[in-house]
Amino acid sequence: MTTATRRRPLIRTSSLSEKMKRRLTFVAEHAVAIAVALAFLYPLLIIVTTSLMSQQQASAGDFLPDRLVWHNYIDVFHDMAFGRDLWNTVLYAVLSSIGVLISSTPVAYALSHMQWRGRTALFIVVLAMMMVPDQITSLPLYILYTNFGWIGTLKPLIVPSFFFDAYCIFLLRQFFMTIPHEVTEAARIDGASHFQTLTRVTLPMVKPALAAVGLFQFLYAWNDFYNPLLYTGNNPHGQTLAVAISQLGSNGHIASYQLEMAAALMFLAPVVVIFLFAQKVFVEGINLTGVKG
Amino acid sequence: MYQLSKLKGMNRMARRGARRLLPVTAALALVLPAAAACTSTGSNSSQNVDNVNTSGSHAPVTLEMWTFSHKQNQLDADQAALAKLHAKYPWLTVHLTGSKSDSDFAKAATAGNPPDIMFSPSTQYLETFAHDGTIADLTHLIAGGPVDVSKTVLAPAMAALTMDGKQWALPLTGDAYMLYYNKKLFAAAGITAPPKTLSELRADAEKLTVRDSGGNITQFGFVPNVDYDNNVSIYAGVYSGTHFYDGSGVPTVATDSNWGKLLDWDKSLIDYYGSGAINKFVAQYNPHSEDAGNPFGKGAVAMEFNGEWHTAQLKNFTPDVDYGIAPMPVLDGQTTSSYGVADIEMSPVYVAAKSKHIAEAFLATEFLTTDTTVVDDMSTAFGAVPSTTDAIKNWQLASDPHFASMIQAFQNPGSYGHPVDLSAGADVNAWQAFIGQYESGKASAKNLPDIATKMKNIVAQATN
Amino acid sequence: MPAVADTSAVVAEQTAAPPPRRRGRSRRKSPTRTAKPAVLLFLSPLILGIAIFKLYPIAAGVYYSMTDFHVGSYQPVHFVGLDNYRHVLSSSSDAWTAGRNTLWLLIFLVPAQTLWAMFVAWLVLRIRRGQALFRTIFFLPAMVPLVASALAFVVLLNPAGPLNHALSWVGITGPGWFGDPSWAKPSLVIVAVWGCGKIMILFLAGMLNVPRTLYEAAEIDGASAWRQFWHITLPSISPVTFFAVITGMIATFQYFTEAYVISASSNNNSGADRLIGYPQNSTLFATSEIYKQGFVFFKTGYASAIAVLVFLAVFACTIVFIWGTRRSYGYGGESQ
Repeated sequence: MTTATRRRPLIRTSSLSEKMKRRLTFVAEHAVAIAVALAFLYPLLIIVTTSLMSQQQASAGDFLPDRLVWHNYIDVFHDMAFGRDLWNTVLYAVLSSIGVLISSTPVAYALSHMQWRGRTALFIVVLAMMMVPDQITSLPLYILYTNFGWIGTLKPLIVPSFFFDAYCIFLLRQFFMTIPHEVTEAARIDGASHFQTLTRVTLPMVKPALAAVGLFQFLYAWNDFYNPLLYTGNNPHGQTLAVAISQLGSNGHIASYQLEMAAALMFLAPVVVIFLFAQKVFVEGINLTGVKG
Repeated sequence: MYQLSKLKGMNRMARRGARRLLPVTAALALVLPAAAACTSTGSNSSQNVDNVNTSGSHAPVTLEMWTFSHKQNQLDADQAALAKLHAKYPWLTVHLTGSKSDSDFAKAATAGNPPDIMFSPSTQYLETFAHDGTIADLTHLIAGGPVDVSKTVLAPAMAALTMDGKQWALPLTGDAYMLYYNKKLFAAAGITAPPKTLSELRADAEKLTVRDSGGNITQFGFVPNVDYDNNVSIYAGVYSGTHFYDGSGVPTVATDSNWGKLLDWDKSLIDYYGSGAINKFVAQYNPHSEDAGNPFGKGAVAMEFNGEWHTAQLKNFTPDVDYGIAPMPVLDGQTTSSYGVADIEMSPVYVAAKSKHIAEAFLATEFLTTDTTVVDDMSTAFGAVPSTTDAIKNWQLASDPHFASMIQAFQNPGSYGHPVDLSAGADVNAWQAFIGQYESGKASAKNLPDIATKMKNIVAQATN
Repeated sequence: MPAVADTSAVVAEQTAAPPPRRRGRSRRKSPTRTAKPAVLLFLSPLILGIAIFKLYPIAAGVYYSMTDFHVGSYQPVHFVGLDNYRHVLSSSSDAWTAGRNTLWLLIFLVPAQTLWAMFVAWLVLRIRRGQALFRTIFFLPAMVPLVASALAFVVLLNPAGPLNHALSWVGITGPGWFGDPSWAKPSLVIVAVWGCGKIMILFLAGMLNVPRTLYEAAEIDGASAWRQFWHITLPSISPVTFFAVITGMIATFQYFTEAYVISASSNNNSGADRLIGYPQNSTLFATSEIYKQGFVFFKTGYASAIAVLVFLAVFACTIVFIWGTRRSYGYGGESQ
């Protein structure tokens, strides 16, 4: 791309010091990246190593176990009803994912492919709802659920997802907006009802979006601590893993870090595995909550 | 810029959109809280319940009992007691769930399905539960029950659970907070007898401190931090001869100078060790105060302030420690009148007011709290002090030297515990937070009137 | 294309023009208005859901905040006007401490998280080979459940734990981390920063949008990495920064789990509910205080008053922030 004229060439041959500078930058950036990566991984490593330590070593805060105590993973099942809590967590995660998909899809469609007055206003209302902290709505809702007799069960966690989840509506709506209006309008002109348009035309086009939204909700429910603490915390039969594991280190339990870490590892393993396989879905989903149109 | 104007315009529309939802909401908002409040039935109905006729046949009844016990030996003792109950009354079965706190009980009462019986760790919520109608008033049932409680149960234990002339619970075990001291380390430091005053405690603590070559402390004498383990009970009044509230409910923390002397003692001992070393000790050992990592059991500290249940833990995890138990030292100038007292807290057994089987639940409760063998076995398992005179006489641990001073302290008329008021411990929490700041130098004696006012307001707000 | 259609639709609605006028804009098809019943049907879960699960609790909360309602109590309920608010704002409540701590988070945690996410995204951008691997590693912690992360850091930042051991090798006496009142909040920031993967992805996406040629030209002109970042990347990602800060602020007002789990594991003797805010109320945040008053002490009216105040604070903060940054909301910035 050099020109033949006497103008300053676009590509200058780099001087030695500039080459050095670039090489140094390269090394520095990579070194920093590796250091940061190690720092990010270290806490996860701690979970693994501590989970295989003996009680003495875990309390003493050693780095590596002298011998691998695989038995810790079995002891976890003695200390807490891991199986039952796991079942509750799975139930919550799966059912609420189904719930948000059922409730958010028509809403997202209405917010993107239907024209009506106040559409953008309602979308802003949905966004505003995302701002309302859980803690503000939870007290009156707790009383409401008490009157229904739902406290101690998983119902307060699952039922709302069948009505309204601001984040999922937002996400799905963003996905729906990427489908051109012509497609849906063509279907309408052909005589399809809105429902048919939604199910036969649009839905197949947003399958990855549905997967993303379902996955996000699954992840949110799996990791959720505050809501299960509130609504099921008093009933051991309804507890989820998040609450049960947090109680492993308190409430008079012997602070056995090794058991806590073993339980934590079993708790986080499923979502990490899902994440590793479905990375693209997550990343794309997050991008759509960002600053695109 | 465009975005903002769009937002502004949209606000108008949003309001219009929300307006559609408002009538629905308003209706819900008016109806539902009223419905929620309407679950009250006003006064306690246990007054109308008759005692169970213990002779004759009965339809089988199953009761639900919750306990704060979480250690295996405690749960085993609970189950053994319930088995004995079932043997005596075969139609009565009680199902036990462990690791339940007062909060869990209250939440279950709110949800409408409380357990019939609750074995609570302390009397912290007693007034709140009584005031709210969560627990049943047992006075009437006690009068008609099979056991003459006034002759059996220790008077101070009963008194701790009485309010407004009504008996709200029966005491099962009692906690007494004492000084644990390591005999071997005492001998090594040349100390012959446990300290009786706080200044003696301080002097002994200094003698018992061991540092390594780098100047780090490997053995502490005594750690007084209010946040450490159960130390908050050191500052609850009995060891300084003070009460939180005077006769008219006014806090005395600013007016009674003994409080200030107590806090000064605390701060000076912490300064002696250096707050860095002490904070590290507290942060390291607080999560392990009841297990194999307990610093007293490991010799990391020579003296410890703890409840009597700690004996069971030490026996379980670190049986080789040669230790003694003595009354906790008291503030100087009070040796003759009050040394030998202890902070005592009762563990009560409540009957839920909304239980469907109040009479049967009371029968079970009375059995658990008065049957000599049951009380003895529970006390042994918990390492607690029995609450009835017969149980104390029969107690297998009565001859255990560890328990000698504890039993005496328990029966000492000068012993008392945390104040029981409607704030359910929020006032003591505030006091604890204040002491924490005092220890780190963020508050001083001139802030005492502020904390006094705060405590008064907390109780006043709770009483509204 | 959809964005254009959307904007036009918005403009049309704002002017509320009758159909004939719209036909004047011939360049795009005029969207037909959807019949109301169909719209309402599709929106029914939303409307019901917002009414029951958002608007009702807010209204009920305001109502409760003006009563002396105690959940679980069988006492009759009285209307007490603004008494609860007076108690909350009095010096004998912990609400001021909770407010200060939450403000601390807003001032320190949100920028720390945002800047760190930006920095890490920049790192990933610069690494050409193995970019996907680094991106995965940096994003992974955000997938870990908060309870697990909190407990992992309790082990890591134990004063007698691995990190302090390592520090002692280089002669530094490690602080008390979660057990020291002055270090508890900074330690919580460390935990939060570790899990900032989602924000990092946003920044990365924004940075990837910047055309490569800009960087190449700057490289040729001899700009250092830092200058490239400052003059090219930073301005282009300003909408992402804006979004990250807003969502960070909102999330900070809801901060609860890590503080609760970590303080609960600090003392074996007390129950988790008694340890909220340990040590010395340094980790008592607005949400923790609401939880404590509402679900530990069951003072529903009082806790509702705190909740209403927090709600107003969230609202005010967001409005103030949007207003305050309206001028710097620049390049490429359509958010819907």
